[in-house]
Amino acid sequence: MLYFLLYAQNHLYLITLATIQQAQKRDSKAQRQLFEHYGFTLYRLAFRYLRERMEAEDVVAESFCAIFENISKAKFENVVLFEAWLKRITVNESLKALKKRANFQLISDTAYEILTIKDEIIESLTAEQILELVSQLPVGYRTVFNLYEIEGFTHAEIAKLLNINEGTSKSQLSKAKGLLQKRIIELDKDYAKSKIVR
Amino acid sequence: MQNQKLFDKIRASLADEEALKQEPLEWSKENVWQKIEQRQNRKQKLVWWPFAAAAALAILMGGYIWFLAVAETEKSAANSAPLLEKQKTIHSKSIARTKREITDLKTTPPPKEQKSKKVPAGEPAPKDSFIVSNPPTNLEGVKITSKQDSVLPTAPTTEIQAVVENKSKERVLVVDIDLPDAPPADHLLKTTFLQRFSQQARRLKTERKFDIKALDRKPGNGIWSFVGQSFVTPEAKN
Repeated sequence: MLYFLLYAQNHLYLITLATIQQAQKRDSKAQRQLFEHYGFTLYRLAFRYLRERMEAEDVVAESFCAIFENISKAKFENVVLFEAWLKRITVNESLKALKKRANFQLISDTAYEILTIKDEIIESLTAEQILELVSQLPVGYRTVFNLYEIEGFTHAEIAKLLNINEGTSKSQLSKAKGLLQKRIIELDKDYAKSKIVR
Repeated sequence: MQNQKLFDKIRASLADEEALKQEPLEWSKENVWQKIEQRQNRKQKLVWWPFAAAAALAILMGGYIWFLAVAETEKSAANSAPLLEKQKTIHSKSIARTKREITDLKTTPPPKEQKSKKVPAGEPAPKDSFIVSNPPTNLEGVKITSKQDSVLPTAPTTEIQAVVENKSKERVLVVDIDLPDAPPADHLLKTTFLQRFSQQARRLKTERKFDIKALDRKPGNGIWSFVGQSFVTPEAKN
């Protein structure tokens, strides 16, 4: 029941193309509806990159400002495209915030062995565990992994966004995957002890 | 690809909205919305800046142009001030004279017309007498108000009219008469003494001829007639 109420609260504002068009006309009510509907999704997205609440909130606020400012310039054939546009803006803002950080740097000296993980272990993994594992990755690895595996950016796009070479992006992703595998294996200590199947 | 299944699951888990909603994330929605509103207001203010700056610049330019125009007008007014002052002085002088005349008329009794008309019969009118038109003293029908001329003191209009009515009218005839063309001055200077002497002699000869004709209307052809005509006295001439 509680879950249903929460679900209903989150989906109270149904977003249609009409709502988007209203927001394009700078209608504050429509803008608020968009924020109510997509606010948390975008916050979660920003948090995945930044791992800091205040910073993620700032990024969400900045993203919505950019959205409301540029929404009238864009044309959307459907809501899915609009959502993709929102996420893209939030990712860009998150990357901006990341670049401002002093500790944002890509690790290149560590090499990880590619290990094969048993299907049973993969199936036993929960969403929470996966999120936790991804969030524990170093910032450079995590950023490239998120951009490539979750957002679907190409290496060329990632290289452009982060001002790095395509090769660096590829190597960062490879290392991120290796570290992730290692951590997943480490979850099951018995399995880790029994030497990893190649 | 190795561990493809693992990464597919990771991708699916991170993309699954319903699963992610279970994620224990906290955020202050209202704070974020307040931040958005504040930033939007700030941006709206910033949007107006260029327009405000342009308007201010336009006002400044307009003011500068207006100032230049005013300065130019003042300069031209300053140049024409002496002329105006002169005109004003003349005007005030004429007004003062008019006022003086009005007071004279008030104080002195009006001149008797018969006396003034009496002119000695034998005495011819002096040749050099001119009809002089006074400055505009004829204020008949003109109402002087304080608004029209601030120089004049506000005098009752009726009083002025009454005084003015006693004054006799003066009429001035202006006739444009063409004078005969004078001989060129250099022409007289060019004539020599001999030319002038011959001209004089010719004139005297002609006069003499007329005189003879007047004396002797029937001149004879003989020598005595010639002698008689030669001795013409001035008395006989008249």
